[in-house]
Amino acid sequence: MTMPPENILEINGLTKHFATGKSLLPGIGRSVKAVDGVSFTVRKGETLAIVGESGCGKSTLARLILRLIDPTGGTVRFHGQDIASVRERDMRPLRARMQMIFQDPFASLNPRMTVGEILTEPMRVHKLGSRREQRERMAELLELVGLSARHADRYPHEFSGGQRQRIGIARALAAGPELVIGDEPVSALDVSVQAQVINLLEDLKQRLGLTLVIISHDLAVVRHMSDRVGVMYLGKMVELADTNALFTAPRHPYTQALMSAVPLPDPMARANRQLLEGDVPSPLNPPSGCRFHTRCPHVRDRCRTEEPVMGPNAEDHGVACHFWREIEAPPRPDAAARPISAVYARRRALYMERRALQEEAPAL
Amino acid sequence: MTMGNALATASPNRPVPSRSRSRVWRKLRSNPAALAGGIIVLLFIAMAIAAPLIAPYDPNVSSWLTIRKPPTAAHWMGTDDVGRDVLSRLMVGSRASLSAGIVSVAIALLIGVPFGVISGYYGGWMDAVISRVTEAVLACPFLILAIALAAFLGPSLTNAMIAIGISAAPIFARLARGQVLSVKTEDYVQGARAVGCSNLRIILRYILPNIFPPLLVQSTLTVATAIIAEASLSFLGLGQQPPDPSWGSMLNTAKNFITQAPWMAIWPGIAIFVVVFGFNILGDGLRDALDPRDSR
Repeated sequence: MTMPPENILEINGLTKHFATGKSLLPGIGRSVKAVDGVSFTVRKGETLAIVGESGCGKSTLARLILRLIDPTGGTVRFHGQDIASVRERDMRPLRARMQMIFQDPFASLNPRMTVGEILTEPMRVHKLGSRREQRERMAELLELVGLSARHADRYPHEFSGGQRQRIGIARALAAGPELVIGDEPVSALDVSVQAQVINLLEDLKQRLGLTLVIISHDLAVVRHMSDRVGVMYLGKMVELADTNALFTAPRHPYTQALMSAVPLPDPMARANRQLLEGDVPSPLNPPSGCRFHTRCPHVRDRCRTEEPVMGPNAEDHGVACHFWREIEAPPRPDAAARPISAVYARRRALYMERRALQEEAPAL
Repeated sequence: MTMGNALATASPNRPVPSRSRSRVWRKLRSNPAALAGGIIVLLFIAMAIAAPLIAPYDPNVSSWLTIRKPPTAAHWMGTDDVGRDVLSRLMVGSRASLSAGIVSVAIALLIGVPFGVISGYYGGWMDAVISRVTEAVLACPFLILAIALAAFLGPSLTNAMIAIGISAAPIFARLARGQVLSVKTEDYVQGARAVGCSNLRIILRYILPNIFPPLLVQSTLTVATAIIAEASLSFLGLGQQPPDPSWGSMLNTAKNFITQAPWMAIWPGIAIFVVVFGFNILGDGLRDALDPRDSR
């Protein structure tokens, strides 16, 4: 790389606490620390994945970045402009440039609007083009995601989950955004459909020069799609690294445990399973010091009192652990990187060929 | 809905359904109950409009010769206690009763729904204020409140309709608020915000269409309540002013002669029943027809 890539998004100390119940005295009520001081940057043109267990604050993070909910603290800079504190009215024009793909394709489309209306809505809201141009672009978008312009007059319920998710993607692209955030964009879909949607997303990213932030708990999806991966645990970012580095040499003990939980097709490779014990502590009352210390196999006294910061180089391979240098990553073959056999390669080529033929046939 | 079902309905060879009014109309037409309801309501409205032309007698002219006569060829529905033709009074009375039903509900919707939507959508102190006021009004019995308001506004049919509308508004406010609360959390509302829609646009295009069906059904039920409330107000002299007829005032007079002249009560009773029934099944059918998720 000759030039350092431009940062499209800079997130600093982003925090969201949800109050649980009301207390009579302000400041005394308990709160869920869903996202607690998360910092990272997203480079222009990359795909950054955020992974973590259910309840670690991934979805909240996505909504915070898009300002669908207001943060408790911290900043989100989009092209250098802090959007965490602007008024909703000033936020609206920016929304054309950053879009979201939702997890549940059955809940994310208004059941009382036709697909055409859903797709032209962003253009109407941002006053892009004339009515005719909007119709044309809508047809274009439908073709782009593998549907047909004939579908414009139908309602969302007439489509399958995968088709609806394509409509959701088309809507996200309608206003021509630079940044698209996918909140578990494929986890509600069948595995076979997942692959289609993932390939579609990658293809669109290349063609339209998008920057993607993918929130996921599916490590296979993440491995396949992303350039860099951030790992979250209990509202904190614990490790952020290039996908390859993270999958082959995870540094944080939580990431290591996460990686060893990935199922491997090769039984010979299934050594060194390192399973976590216990449950994720409640975000109502997170552990002191390092949040992972209650489940960490390498826990020491310092972990219980002192909170680790992201180091050594938060940009390239950051890890929030005091002792990461001392914890040797157990050698682990990267399943995806293993050489494939000649027979398998031949079969796969045959399959891809057939599929290409199928796709050439008139789609739906 | 199953996946297979969804795929089947999205099959390529199916003609693309034309949307909007024609689709709603086609669905409504294929629903015999709704169609019957619509025809009933239309017939009564036509009768109300044409009443002065088709009524066989002047509804307000009394005659000593025809007091409390049972139905005859001359008076198909009999005559009342001062000798007026019941059929003529029923026809002319439909004007007061139908407008009391429809106009009061329209007033109730116009007042209740905006408050309910604002309360549910924005929450916070606005919700607290609107909800407390709504609850306070709901705590008063509907009829007592309507009577108090009508008495305050002065006796006339128009004021009775306003009074009934205001009294019924909290029902719609509370219903709308509850519906908004559940629709508001849907992903598609979040999606609309992410797209950049203004609050007004979200309310008009995403919230209102999705909370409309229960409001519609409630409206048809409230039309019935309003017709009966108008009857009560008329009885107290706060609604339709005598001698002009309304179904309610006819019923109220008739109850004094229920054993001697049951026809005086039966016909307006049947009229109220049929109209209310018509509104209810029309409302049910409309709710189904307006739901695009319903296949057909």
